[in-house]
Amino acid sequence: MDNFSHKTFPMPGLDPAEPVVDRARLSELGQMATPAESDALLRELLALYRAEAVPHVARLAAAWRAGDAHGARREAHYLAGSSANLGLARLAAGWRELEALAGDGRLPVFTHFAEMLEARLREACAAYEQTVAELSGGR
Amino acid sequence: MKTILIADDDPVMVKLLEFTLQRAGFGVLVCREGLSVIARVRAGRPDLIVLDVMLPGRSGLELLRDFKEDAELAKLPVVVVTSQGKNSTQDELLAAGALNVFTKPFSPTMLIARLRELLHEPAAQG
Repeated sequence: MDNFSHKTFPMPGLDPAEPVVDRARLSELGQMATPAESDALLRELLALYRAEAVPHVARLAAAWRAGDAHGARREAHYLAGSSANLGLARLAAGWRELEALAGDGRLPVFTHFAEMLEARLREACAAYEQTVAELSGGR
Repeated sequence: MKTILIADDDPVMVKLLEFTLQRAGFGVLVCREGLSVIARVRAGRPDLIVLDVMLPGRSGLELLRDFKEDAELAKLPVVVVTSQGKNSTQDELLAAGALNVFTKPFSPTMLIARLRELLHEPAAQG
């Protein structure tokens, strides 16, 4: 049984190659609105993302546990696209890794899988909120 | 006013596109799953579709093929958005009739510019 502290496994939150939040992406999204509306838009996008991501993460973990590679790939794919849209770059990279593993039919068993995914999701959302606040302060 | 149908199951994507397209002066229709897209197109008569590939029920690729086989829908312009970046997938989508394939995350500004071109709408001022 592997553990997520294993550094060679590029899971969300463990791969430093990608920033947790892509600030340029958030700026780009924020600029779709007027400066006065920008924060509200960015926060609404996060609320929509979080509401949808939580059940998708649960389904991903369940599919992984059940050995359902097709279901796991589908959920990871959804999460990868949605996270990338929002600028959650490191999380998106992690979901893509899981999608690729599931696509290859490989579902290695990891300890505390669901808890780790949920924790990475919470961290990414917190970092997003922090970045929105910083961008807001800079306007 | 030109109308665009967004066919995507991701609420973040839908909100982002809806917001951006409305700001750009387009009317917007939304469909969140694949099986009802064709009925939505017939009822709403959009001028263009922004179509996700991994739609539940019926995939974007299947829908492109459906459009192609339907005399009424064959000429409807379709732009595809996908998080699949493989060239083979993009080639398949273009061959099936997509006019453009945007890989997520894409620039909303670039998407709007392309939609304006496809719909022969003047570019935004400023």
